[in-house]
Amino acid sequence: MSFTDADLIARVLLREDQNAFGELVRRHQSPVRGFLMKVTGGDTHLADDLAQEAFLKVWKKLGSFRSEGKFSTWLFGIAHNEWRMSVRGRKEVALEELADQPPEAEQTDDAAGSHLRMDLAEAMKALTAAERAAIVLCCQNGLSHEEASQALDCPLGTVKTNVLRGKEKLRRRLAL
Amino acid sequence: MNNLTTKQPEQNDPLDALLREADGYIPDNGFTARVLTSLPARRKHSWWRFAVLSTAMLIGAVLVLWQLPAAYAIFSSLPRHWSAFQWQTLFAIVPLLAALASFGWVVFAVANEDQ
Repeated sequence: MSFTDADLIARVLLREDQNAFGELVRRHQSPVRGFLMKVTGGDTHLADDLAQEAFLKVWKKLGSFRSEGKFSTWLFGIAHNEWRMSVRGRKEVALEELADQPPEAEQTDDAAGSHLRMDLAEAMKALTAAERAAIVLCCQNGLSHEEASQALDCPLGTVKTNVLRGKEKLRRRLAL
Repeated sequence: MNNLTTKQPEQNDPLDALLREADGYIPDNGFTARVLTSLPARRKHSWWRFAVLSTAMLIGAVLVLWQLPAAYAIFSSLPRHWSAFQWQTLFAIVPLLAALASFGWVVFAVANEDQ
């Protein structure tokens, strides 16, 4: 018999059931770690540390989860916040600057010919952090634009723009 | 119709297909175990905590109500008798302020119990 996320959450809240929480972590670790790996630009260790911190926050704050929304959306929001805080903590470029920052020398359509075809992982690195986060959530994890805007804590229009702009850049880079 | 507010990936878009394919499953490799071993104890909402806070709130409320008539009398007489102000008057207000502070603290503690 398989439990839904809601069943597992109820068990954690009522009985402080660590096995139920472990099952939640097992179910969601892959998308969360994958998401963090992409927004950190492929830093596996940092992504895993942030994912671990995110799940610890989930354990502490599970009582405040509102069941009207999807658990995964809430979880991605916490994971994204962990990443944002780590960026601020390391006094790196602020998220807003990352969003506005031009990736690296943008290739023209001509230069992006077949001989410069990059694989997707490399092409993703050329996106801004905000574009990458929006693409990973919407195109790889199946979140709607509304859900992604909740998880990323930014306006709906910004998410739509980042998805469209990011996909356009990927198409150019991959010559698709 | 292309509705941007719902699911976005299109089935026949090669980029969407590539993105979906590239999102492979990441094996657990002990990640879940590491998370579970680092879990702190969750704060329980125990019955005794609730009882202590409720009792404290009740006592605070009773003290406030008990002191309120005297304090009201003192405050209402102040504007007319500034010259007659004495330190005893101030000392009479102190218990009321203490009771109000304890009452406020309990309300704050109850309101922030989840955090």
